[in-house]
Amino acid sequence: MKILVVDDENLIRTTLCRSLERRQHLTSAAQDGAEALAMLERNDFDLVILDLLMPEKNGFDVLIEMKKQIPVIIISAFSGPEEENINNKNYPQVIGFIKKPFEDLQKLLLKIEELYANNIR
Amino acid sequence: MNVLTTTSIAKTLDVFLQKEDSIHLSVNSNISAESKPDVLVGYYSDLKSFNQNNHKPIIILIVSKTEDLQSNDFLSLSPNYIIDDTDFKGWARLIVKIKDELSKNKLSKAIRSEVEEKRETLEKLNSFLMAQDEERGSALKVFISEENKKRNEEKKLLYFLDFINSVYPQPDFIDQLILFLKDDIKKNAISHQLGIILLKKDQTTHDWFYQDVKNDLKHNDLTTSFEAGFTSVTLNQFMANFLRRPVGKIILWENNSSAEKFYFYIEVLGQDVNLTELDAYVSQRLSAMALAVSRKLTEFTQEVLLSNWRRMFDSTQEPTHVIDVQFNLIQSSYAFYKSDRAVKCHSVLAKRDTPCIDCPAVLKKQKGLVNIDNKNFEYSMTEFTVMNNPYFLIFYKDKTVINSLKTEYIQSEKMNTIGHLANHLTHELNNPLTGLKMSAQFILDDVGDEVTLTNDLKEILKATERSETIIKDLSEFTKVKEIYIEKVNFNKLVQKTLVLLKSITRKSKIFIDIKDRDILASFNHLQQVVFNLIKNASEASQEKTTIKIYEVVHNHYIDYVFEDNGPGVDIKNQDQLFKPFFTTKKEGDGTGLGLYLSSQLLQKMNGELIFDSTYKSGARFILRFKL
Repeated sequence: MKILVVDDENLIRTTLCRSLERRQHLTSAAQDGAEALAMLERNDFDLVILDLLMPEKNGFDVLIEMKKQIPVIIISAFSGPEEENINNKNYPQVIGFIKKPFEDLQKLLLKIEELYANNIR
Repeated sequence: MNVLTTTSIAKTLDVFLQKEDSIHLSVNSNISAESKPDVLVGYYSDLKSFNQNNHKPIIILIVSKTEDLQSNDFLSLSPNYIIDDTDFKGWARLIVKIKDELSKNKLSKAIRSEVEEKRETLEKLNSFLMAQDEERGSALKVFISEENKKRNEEKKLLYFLDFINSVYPQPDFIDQLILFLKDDIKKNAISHQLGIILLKKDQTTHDWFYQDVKNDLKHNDLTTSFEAGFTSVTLNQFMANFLRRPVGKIILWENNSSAEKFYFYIEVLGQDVNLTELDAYVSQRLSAMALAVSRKLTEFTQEVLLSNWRRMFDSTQEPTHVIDVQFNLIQSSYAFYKSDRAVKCHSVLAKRDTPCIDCPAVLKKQKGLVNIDNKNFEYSMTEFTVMNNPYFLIFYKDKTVINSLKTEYIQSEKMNTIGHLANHLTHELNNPLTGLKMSAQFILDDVGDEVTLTNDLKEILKATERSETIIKDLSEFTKVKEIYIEKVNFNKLVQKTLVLLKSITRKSKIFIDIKDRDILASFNHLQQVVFNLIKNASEASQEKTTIKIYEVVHNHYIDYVFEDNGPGVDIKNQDQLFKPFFTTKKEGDGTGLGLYLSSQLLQKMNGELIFDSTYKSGARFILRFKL
């Protein structure tokens, strides 16, 4: 699938993209909300992996402003009251929430694919 | 005395009666009744022709022996005396005797008539005197009855005053007064309503006490202004408006002897009233009533003020006193001041025998700071005079509390800030950390069989994991959560906490002997307690301390013991240990709340924080949990 990875941390972006590509996915990366929205506009993606706290526009803004109905998996460093609102009810595109730091890279990749597969069904 | 007789007899008599001047002899050969003699003397033959119809003289019949008289002759003549004709001397003697008798009779008659006259006069005098007597008597009666009346009135007045005196102390005095008056006045007037109104001079509320138709006693506070006072007419109008009924005739009395205008009135319905008596009755009592009622109302106000004054003292938490020049407590927020003996302020507040050197009453300062019984107070003092005696009203504010509160507030603000910082930090740190971890894992996958590279990467991963733990612990520690009782592994908790205390515990040796065991507690808060205990232990002494943490299992509970080899806790401080704001550290260094909060938290978790005073080699604290 075509996946858009949105995170302001360079290492996370690059590592995630490279790992996903190793598993035969096509990836693009954005480092903040504005860039993410612009890329969503220009291209079609099957999945967005979205960090919440970023400069410029953050993950919330992206969720609200993205026009295309694409499934989103949220990744975030910690949970707070705002994060608790992020669920499928309030934001129907959100199909999953994975907390940083990730336990294991492999498990992360599997989780992502699993969530997507469940969503398709 | 006239004696009528015949010539022959007269000659004889004359001889014997010469000396008798008062006897007058008259002679008539023909004795008839016309001469009206007193005595008639003669022979039957001379006397029988005497007509005695109108005048009956005393008849002396001279009889001779040779005369032959019949009883009829005697009957017709009815002589008074019969005398022999030979007894000449006897004739004279008799006449003299008769004369004497007659004169006696006359005398007695005269006396009698005089007596009669005198008696008449006496009687007249008597009846006159009696009449006078009666007059005086009745006047006296009137006087006496009036005196009695006056006395009765006085008695009644005294009774009334006595009534006022005896009923005055009762709280419903004014009601009782009205009932009494209503009843007492009944002889003079039956009142439909009876009442008392007081118009206070400087206030807008006035008092009106009355008994209404249904005999209920009422008290109204009138708020309308009645500067002009009342007249019978205006009161009538006012009452009609207020009571919403037609009002009968109002008889009104006014008295100004007290501080208010005092009115007493009765309402009568179309009956004739003995106004003079009623007026006398009321006027006699008006001043007494006015003064008593006015005084009673003042007493009520005074009681209210007094109870407010007292309540103010009872309700203040911080020391508030009124003292006199000799430091005696007149009023205090401490309850004991009500004892009979004089209590000195300095003995109670400062626990001293002599006055405090910087006592506000001594320095006469209105604001200042004092140190009393090792506490800091800020005071406000006001001096006032009552009957030329000076008194001091002093409010004390415990600055220690405020200072501690300030510190506590700053501390909690700091904690909040730290919390926020920690949150921010964790997020900021997590990102690069995640990146690091992912990269390391990624490269590890790539590297395959290269051993050294693999090991190095594994070390990197371990380091990132350690960093993760620290960040997680820190973030958990700074979160403020509700007490959530769950199964907690105390051993793990202590280990986690020690990680956070690295800087402090670097200078201490810590020995731990705890088995893995679950207890029911709130993780977060228990962690705070453990943190606090270990921190206290390590800060107890300047030198390196040894801290031992071990468990002691009992039947129904388990003790986690925290021991240090520091100086321990002074005996005099031991019972203050868990009190808030108690600290042996310098001001600003610690709030004195750590142990207090810790013991509170333990209680909330159904545990106990105990200080073991039997341990003499340092300080020993025990966390006790039920099993």
